[in-house]
Amino acid sequence: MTTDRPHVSLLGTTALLFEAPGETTLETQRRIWALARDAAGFAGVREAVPGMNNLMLAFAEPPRRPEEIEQRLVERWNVVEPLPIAGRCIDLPVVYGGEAGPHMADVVEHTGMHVDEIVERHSAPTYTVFALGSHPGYCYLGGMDARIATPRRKVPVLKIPRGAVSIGGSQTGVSASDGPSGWNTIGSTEVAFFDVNRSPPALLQPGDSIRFKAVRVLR
Amino acid sequence: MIKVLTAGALATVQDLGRTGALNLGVGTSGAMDPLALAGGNILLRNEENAAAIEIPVFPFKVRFERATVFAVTGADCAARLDETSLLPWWAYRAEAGQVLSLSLPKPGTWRATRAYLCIADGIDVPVVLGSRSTQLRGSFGGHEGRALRDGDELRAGRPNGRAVPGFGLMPPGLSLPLQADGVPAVRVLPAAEYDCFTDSSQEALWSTAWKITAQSDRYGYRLAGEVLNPRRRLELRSHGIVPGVIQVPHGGQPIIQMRDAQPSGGYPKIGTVIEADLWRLGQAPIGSSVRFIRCSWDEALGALADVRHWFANARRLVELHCGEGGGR
Amino acid sequence: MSNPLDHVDQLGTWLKGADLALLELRGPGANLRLVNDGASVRVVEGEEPKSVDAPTITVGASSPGIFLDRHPLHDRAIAAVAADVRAGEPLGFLQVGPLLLAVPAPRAGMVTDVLAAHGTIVGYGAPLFVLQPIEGQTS
Repeated sequence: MTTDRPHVSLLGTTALLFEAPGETTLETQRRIWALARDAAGFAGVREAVPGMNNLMLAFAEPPRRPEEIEQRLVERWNVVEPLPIAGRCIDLPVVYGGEAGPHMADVVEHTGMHVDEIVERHSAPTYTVFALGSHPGYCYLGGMDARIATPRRKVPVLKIPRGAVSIGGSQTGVSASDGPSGWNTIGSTEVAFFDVNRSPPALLQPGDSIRFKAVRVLR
Repeated sequence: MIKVLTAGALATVQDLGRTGALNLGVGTSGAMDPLALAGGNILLRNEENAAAIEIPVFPFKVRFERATVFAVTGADCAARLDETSLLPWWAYRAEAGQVLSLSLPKPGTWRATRAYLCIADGIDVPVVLGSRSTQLRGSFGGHEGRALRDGDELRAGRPNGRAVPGFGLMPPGLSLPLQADGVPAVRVLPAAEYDCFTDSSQEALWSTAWKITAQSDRYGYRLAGEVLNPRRRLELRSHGIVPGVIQVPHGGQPIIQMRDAQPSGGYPKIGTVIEADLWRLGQAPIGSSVRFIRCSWDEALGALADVRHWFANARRLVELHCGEGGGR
Repeated sequence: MSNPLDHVDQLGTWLKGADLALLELRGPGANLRLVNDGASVRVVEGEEPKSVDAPTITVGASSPGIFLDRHPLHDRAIAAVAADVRAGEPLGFLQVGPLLLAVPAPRAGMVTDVLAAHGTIVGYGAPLFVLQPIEGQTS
């Protein structure tokens, strides 16, 4: 859902959500990273958490007047410069389709493309890590080919496994652990995205990038 | 030291939650009824955030391997220490070898579904990313990152000798009632996509009762009721969410995100249950109904202040009582 | 002269209306005791008064507060008249703000009177229960 100006809304008294206008782009995401860095220092904010071209501010203490912090955010947004983070790039070996990709058929049906074309379009780009969220170590990636976009499932699936490579709407990502998801799983990888004993525990952070390498396509 | 004899299912070690790790994709976890957990800690003169065991499924049985002062808060689950019936929300002393048994909560004057076993000095499990709460997805925190099993042994924190047995607390479920037309209710602030829903869907949100289906747990409560329809199909980008967010996936039946929910999502959000009322949901049994009451920002802050006042007042009176050498 | 037993219903209604827990009428030929436990009024058949060698104990409030005859999460009074209790068992409770204090039985015995109504404010020392201790029992 795109808008022509930023939109700020409340998530109860626990947080507020800032949505950047326009299409989802890396340029906008760099400005979101910059805005997050600024907003993390606002009074009453415990954590500034980037999403896909949006930003959630989790309150340590909810403000008496949320309009003031909303206005401050919009004013910062209007002037903030993109943060030029360039992290590391890793290659992820992926088995696509078959048992590794139980919802490949739904993507085929929605897009009208053949499995091989979907695999090629999915594994061609270098994806930038826009944000972490969803579950420990999970990376939201930007740069997916819009032609393989497939809507989230009507009913979320109760459990998809760690390593599942999925498409939800116009986004793609890799599950870092077993759990429920509304996305369409098209493949599987073995790489560990989160280890609580490691420092830092998450494998990747915003500004890093990923390339999917198709090692097998099951039919 | 406590030995779990009968773990039931889904019993976990929790404290008030893990904050500050959203940037790693790590959500809050923590007690579904934080007032019961903190209330038990206040009763035992622990710090409010000391870890306890959250028990959603019964029967549940533990043996105290050492003398322990403890309290069972949350739902009244007909607790027995060996053969003696215990009062709910009451501090007791168990001797080494005594067995605590908790049974299915029966309907009483307050409908509740989760019990909390709080012990003096708290449950001592390692602090991971700032909290002792169990992070089930990802398997860390709490006791080995998982639900308790028969045979598990849990340690108590270093003894500070403060807990005094022999008195209790009024359950906040009775002191802070909230209903709409006789149905337990929670207050809700509209969320970003509220205006994208039809007038009749908005009306249905506030004026009809929502049943908590059996597909409800610490991740989220799936509700059954009127179908909520957006004016046009919505496809959103992934964004941060918090416990209490009421999502409406394409099927039109709302899901309230709870303590173990993903910290981000992409379904349309019609409203958010206010933080001050999440404990009420945490005690709403499967099969029961809830109502949503629309509130203002100021009313939501007022509700938070009421909860804080309840804690502060309880702590003050407990200190007065224990300080006078009471608690026989 | 009419027999008070013929007027039990009316007496019960007055008892409830006045928010009293106990009405006792004694005469040369009959005793009548009506106990109001908050849920109902009933006639309690009493034995002849015990011998003067076994004095009853009156249990009073250890603190001002709201007297409760049951834990607030429970539906029924703990210790109605004629209930047997063990030493230390709660007969009722005192609510002081958010705190709940027990009113414990000082000795094992039988509750012969409940003197305060559930939900009423009582002062320090207010008599709440009368207990007939069991001979030979220590607390």
